[in-house]
Amino acid sequence: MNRKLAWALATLCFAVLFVPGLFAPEHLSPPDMANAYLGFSSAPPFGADASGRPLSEYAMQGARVVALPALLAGLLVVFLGTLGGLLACTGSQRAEAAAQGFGEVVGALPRMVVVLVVALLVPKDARSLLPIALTWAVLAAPGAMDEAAAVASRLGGARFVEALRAHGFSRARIYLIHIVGMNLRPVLMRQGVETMMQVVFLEIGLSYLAVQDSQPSFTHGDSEKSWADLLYFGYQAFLDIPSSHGLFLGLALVGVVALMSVFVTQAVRAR
Amino acid sequence: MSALLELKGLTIAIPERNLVTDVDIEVHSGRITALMGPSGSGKSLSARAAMCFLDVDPGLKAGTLKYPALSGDKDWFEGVRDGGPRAQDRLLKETRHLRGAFVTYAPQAASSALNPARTVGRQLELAILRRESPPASPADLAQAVRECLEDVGLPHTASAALAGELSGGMAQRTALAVAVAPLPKVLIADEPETGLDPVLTRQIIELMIRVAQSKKCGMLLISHHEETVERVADDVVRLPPGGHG
Repeated sequence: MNRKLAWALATLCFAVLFVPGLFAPEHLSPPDMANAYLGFSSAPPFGADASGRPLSEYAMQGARVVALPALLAGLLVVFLGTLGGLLACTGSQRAEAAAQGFGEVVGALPRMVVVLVVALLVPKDARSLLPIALTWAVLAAPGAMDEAAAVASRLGGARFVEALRAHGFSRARIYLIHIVGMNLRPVLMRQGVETMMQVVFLEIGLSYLAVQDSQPSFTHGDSEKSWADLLYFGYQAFLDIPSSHGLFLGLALVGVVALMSVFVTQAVRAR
Repeated sequence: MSALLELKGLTIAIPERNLVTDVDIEVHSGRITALMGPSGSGKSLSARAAMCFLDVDPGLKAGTLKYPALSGDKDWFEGVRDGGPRAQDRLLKETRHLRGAFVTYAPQAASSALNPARTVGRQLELAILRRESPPASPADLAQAVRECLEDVGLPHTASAALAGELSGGMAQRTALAVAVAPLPKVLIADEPETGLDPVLTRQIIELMIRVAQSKKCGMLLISHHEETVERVADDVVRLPPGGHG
């Protein structure tokens, strides 16, 4: 696929998923039983729930819940991955040992357990996806650091830096442009977007548990809705409760997240 | 005949011992100076010092470095001897404009000298733009890239290839093209035979000599192959084992 086209499609997916979050209503519209169980193509757009509230508002609030934490988690993984790649190019054994130690300790932690502990540690009235997302990013970082370090080692590590310095390039230009910008970029972007995707799925998963058991959510205030609510409506359809369009919208959002990841991976490849 | 590069009495140390002791190297225009010695004798360290790369602690203990053709009698190591890493780093920054222009370097592993994610053409363009009189127009620049590729026996189509896609021999030729593209006065070739089979080694070294002579630059050839050195070198500097002198 053409890289420009892949960038355009990835940007479109990002916009479709997260821009509506900027316009998300503070609270859902009041019930309107005349619209109850409206179908996907009926007004309001994407149909309505059992109380006639538009499903689009669920989607927008869900976008608001995940957008910032997912983006920050992705950026944190990119930052830590960059650090791992650059440390591999310094030729400093101490720095490499520190990165390896971090990777071994953090990589050995069971991710889901740590995330659940963090989710439970946050006081109920301060619950948000952000601490969970950042914890997930730190736990995902060793993989990104390892992969970036492997790319840096294939380049030649410190020998590559020295050879480019012998060509007269400055240290900043070598590290930022030649190593990060041109060689680590595909790996870092893919790892960052994968983490974004994982945070979205994590939010949906944790919220789904709460929705199903009618418990307060781990990841957002109770007045907000998650994309998990849409999937839960869809699940109910299998129990003969007429709301299958919720499943369609929920799965579509999940699908667009996965597509965004695929397009970004295509867009950042070397050629 | 005045030298292009004059390194006298070079002594580099780490706390435990000297890595090189009292090494003298001169490089003259159109001539090949070979720097010979067994592994660990300090050949690469001496060659790196000739480019002002000094990054061991405490580092430079004694020696002078002059580029008479460029800066007359100026000793580039003035103020750096016994100055430690900070002084060495300052020297490295001060002389950055010389590397890749007045003196260029073809390292042991050609693949490490090239950015695999950048096209061969672009890497050559950047090297050509470091010439004293770089091409004035994009058309001239493109022509200079074609000439550089021709000089090392690569087809014009190689210009569009990513460096990471090249075979070992092509990468070695490209690294040489990048090293001579700025029309340097001094070319330092660090064990160009490393990792190549004997036939390719011979081809690359002959190519290196032909290109260096056609561009009228002096060459410092680092090698531990007696046969190669005897065949091609005009002057030979032999380093003792272990660098103790």
